[in-house]
Amino acid sequence: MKQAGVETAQGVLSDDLDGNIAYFRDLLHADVNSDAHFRPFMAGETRLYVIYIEGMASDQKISDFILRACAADISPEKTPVTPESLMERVVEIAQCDTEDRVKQILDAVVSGMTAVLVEGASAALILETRGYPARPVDRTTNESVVLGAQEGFVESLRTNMTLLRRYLPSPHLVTEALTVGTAVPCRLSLVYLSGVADPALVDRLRARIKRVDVPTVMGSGALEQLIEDKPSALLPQILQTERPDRVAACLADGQVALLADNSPCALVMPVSVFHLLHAPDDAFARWQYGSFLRLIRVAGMLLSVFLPGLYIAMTDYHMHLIPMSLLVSISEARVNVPFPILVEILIMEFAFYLINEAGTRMPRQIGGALGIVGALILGQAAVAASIISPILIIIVAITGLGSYATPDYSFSIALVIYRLFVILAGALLGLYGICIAGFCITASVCGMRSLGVPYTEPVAPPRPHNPDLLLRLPTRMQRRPMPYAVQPNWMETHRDEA
Amino acid sequence: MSESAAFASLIAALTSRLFYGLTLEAADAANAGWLAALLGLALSLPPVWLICRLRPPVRQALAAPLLIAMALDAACAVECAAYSESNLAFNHVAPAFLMLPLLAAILRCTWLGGDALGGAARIWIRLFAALMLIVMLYQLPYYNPGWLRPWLGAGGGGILRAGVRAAGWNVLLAGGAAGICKREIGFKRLLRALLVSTAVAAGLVALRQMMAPAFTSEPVTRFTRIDTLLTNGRAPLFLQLPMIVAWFGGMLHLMCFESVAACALTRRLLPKVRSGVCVAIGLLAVFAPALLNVPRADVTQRLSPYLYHALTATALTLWIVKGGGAPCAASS
Repeated sequence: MKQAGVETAQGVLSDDLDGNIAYFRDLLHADVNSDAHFRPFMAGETRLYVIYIEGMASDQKISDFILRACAADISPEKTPVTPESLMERVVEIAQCDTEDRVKQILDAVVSGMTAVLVEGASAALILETRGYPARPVDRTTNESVVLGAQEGFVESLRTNMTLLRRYLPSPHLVTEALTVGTAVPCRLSLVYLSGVADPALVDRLRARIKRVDVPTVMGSGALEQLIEDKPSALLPQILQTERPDRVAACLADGQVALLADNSPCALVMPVSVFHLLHAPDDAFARWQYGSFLRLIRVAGMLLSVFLPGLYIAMTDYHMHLIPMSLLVSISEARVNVPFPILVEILIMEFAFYLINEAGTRMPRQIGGALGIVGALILGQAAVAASIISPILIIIVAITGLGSYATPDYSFSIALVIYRLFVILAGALLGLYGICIAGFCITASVCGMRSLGVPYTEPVAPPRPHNPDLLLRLPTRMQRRPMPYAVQPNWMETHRDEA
Repeated sequence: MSESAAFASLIAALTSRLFYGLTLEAADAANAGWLAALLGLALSLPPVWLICRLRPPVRQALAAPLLIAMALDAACAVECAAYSESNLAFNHVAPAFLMLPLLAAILRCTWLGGDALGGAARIWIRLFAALMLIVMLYQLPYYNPGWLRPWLGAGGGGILRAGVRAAGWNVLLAGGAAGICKREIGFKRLLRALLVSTAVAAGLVALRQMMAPAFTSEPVTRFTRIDTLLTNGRAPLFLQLPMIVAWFGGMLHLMCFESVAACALTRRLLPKVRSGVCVAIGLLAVFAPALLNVPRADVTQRLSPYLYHALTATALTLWIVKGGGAPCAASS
C-alpha cells in the first residue's frame, strides 16, 4: 500500500479508516495535489471521511445531501453506522452504491463522484455528485442543416445519452457503460436498439473495444482510429456525427453508436459509402428536394475528384476532345503562363488549401481579412502576374465548392487526397491514367469494410434496401428491411402494422 | 470470391471481351458481328454446361488448360489496352511502358481480392450503362441501320468463324468464373451472365456497325480498327470522352477478372502451395507474356478460333474418361 499512482491501486479496503485514508492520500498525491479533498466528519460517534475532487464534484451536493444529512439523521442511539445504513437511511442522493475495490473507488472519485469512508467498514459509499462545468446543448457547428433539429452533442457523456434518449424514448434503447484505456480510462457508452441491432455486430464492436491496448484514449477521434477495420484506408469507415437526430435514425436502422466522454461526436458503425453522401436534413425535406440536392452533391463530389485531372488530361493529351473555341480560349489564356499545367494546378491547389487551413485556425475577428487576401492572391494578382491562367481559377473554384458540398468532413479530406492521385495520373497518362486511377479507387472502396460489413453494401454485394441511396424516393416506398438490422425485428413488425 | 461478385465480374469482363474481340479480332463477320455474338452464345452453352456438371476433383484437371488460355488472353488484353492508348495519345511511348500502370492496377486489384473486383464490377455496370446512354442519345441522329445490311455480312462462313471465337471466349471466362468461386457456381447463374453479356455486346457491336460501314477491303490492320473504334465514326468528337472511359474501364475489368481467375486456377492446380505463392505464379503467368510481347496480335488472332475447340474437347474428354454427372450447384 506504499506505492503511489492510480495504476498501482489494487486490492480492497481494510476496516482501518486511517490506513485507508493514508493510502488514498498517497494515491491522489494529496500532499501536493490541492484539488483532492479529504473531509473528516462525525456521524454520531462514528468517524467518516468524504473524499472528492474539487471542481469535479459539486460542493453544494456534498454539503446538502451528505454532510448535512448525516449530521441531522445520525444520533448515537442509531449506531452502528455502516455504508449500507447510510445508503438506506441517511444520504439523499439517488445514485449511490457501496464499493470495496480501491481501483473502482479511485476511478469514481477522479471522475467527479464522492466516496464516503466509514470507520470500521471495509467498503466505501460511492455517491453521484458530479458537478463539473459543461457546455450547454447548443446548435451544431459542423453539420448545419436548413431543416430539422438544430441541437448537437456536447462534451458531457451524460448529456449526450440524455439527448439520445429524448429522440428514442424506447425501453429497447440500451446504453452499455464501457471504458477504454489501460492507465487513464475514458468512459464510453455503447448504444444500440435491442432487438434491432444485430447482436453479432454489437459483440464485434465490444470485442474491438476490449482489444484496445493503449494507456489513454483522447476522445472519439482517437478511438475511431483504434477500432476501425482498415487503418490504412483513406476513407472513414466510421461515421462521426455531432447530431443526436442522425444517431437516432442510424440506431433505428440497426447500426450501433459509441459515445465517449469529453467528445461532442458520436461514432456510428457500420456505415456504407452512401451514408457519407447523405446530409442530415435529407430526411426532413420532401423526397423531390432531397433527391435533387443529393444529385447536386454527388455531382459536386465527382467534380471535386476528377475535374482537375480531366482538365490536365484533356489539355495535355486529348486536345481534340475540347471544342475548338474553348481550346483557343484556353490556349490564349495560358500563353503568358510559364509553368506546365500540372505545376499550375498544384500551385493553385496548395494555395487554396493553405487559405482553407489558415481560415480554420484563424481567430474569427480577422477571418474577413483572410478572404480578401485569398481573393486578391488567388484571383487578381496571380492572373495578373501570369502565374496561373484565369480558367484554372474556375476549375479550382468548382473543385473547392464540390469539396465543401461533401457532408462529411473526413470524407471530404479523403476526396482531396484522391484528387491529387487523379491529377498525377491524368498528368502522366491522360485519360488512360484517369481510368486506371478511377478503377483502383473504386476497387479499393469496394474492398473496404466497416465493422466487418462491406463498405459498398447494399449495392455491392447486393442486399434488399430502401430506395434511399443516391436518390431518396417517397417515404411510403421505404418499406424494405433495414440492411444492418437483425431480421425480423420489432421495428419492422410495427411498421408493417402501421 | 463470392458467387454474386463472380457473377457481376463475369458480366463486366465478358461484355468487354466480346465487344473488343468482335470489333478488333474477329473481323470475318463484317457487319454481322452481332449475329456472331448470338451464335457464340448458342455454341458455348453445351461446354459450359459440361464444365458445370463435372465433379470438382475432375474439374480440377481442366484448371491447367484454362490457366494457360486465361493468362494468354489477359496478356493479350493488356497489350490491346496499351496499344489503344498508344494509338490515342502516347504514340511516342513504348507500349511496354504503357503496360506498367495496367499491371500495377491488376496487382492492386488482385491484392484487394475477388470480392473487391466484384463490387467494382457492379458499380462499373451502372456507370457503363449511364455512359452508353449518353453516347447513344447523342449519336441517335447519326445511326444508319442500312449499314447492318446485308444481314449475313460477308457470308455464313464468316459469321461461323467469328461465332466460334466468341464461343471460345464465353467458355474461357465462364470456366474461369467457375474456378474463382469459393462455392460451386450454378449453371443457371452462368447462363444468366452469358445471356446478359452477349445481349449487351451484340447490341454494342450492332450500334457501332451502324456508325461506320464495315471494312470490306482486306487486310485491315488492327490499328485501323482501333482508330475507327475510338474516333467514333461520324459523331461529335467530344463523345470520345465517355467512349474512351467505357473502353478502358471495360478492358480493366477484363484484365483483372482474368488475372484473378489465373491466380485462383493456380491455387486449384497447386492446392498444397501457399496462397501467396499461387497468386505470384498466377500474376507472373499474365505479366511475363504481356511484357515479353508474346501474345502478338496476329498470333492470338490465329490461335483464338481453336480456343473453343480445345476447351470443349478437354471438357468432353474429362466427362467421358473420368465421368461427370454431378448435380449442378444450387442456382439463385
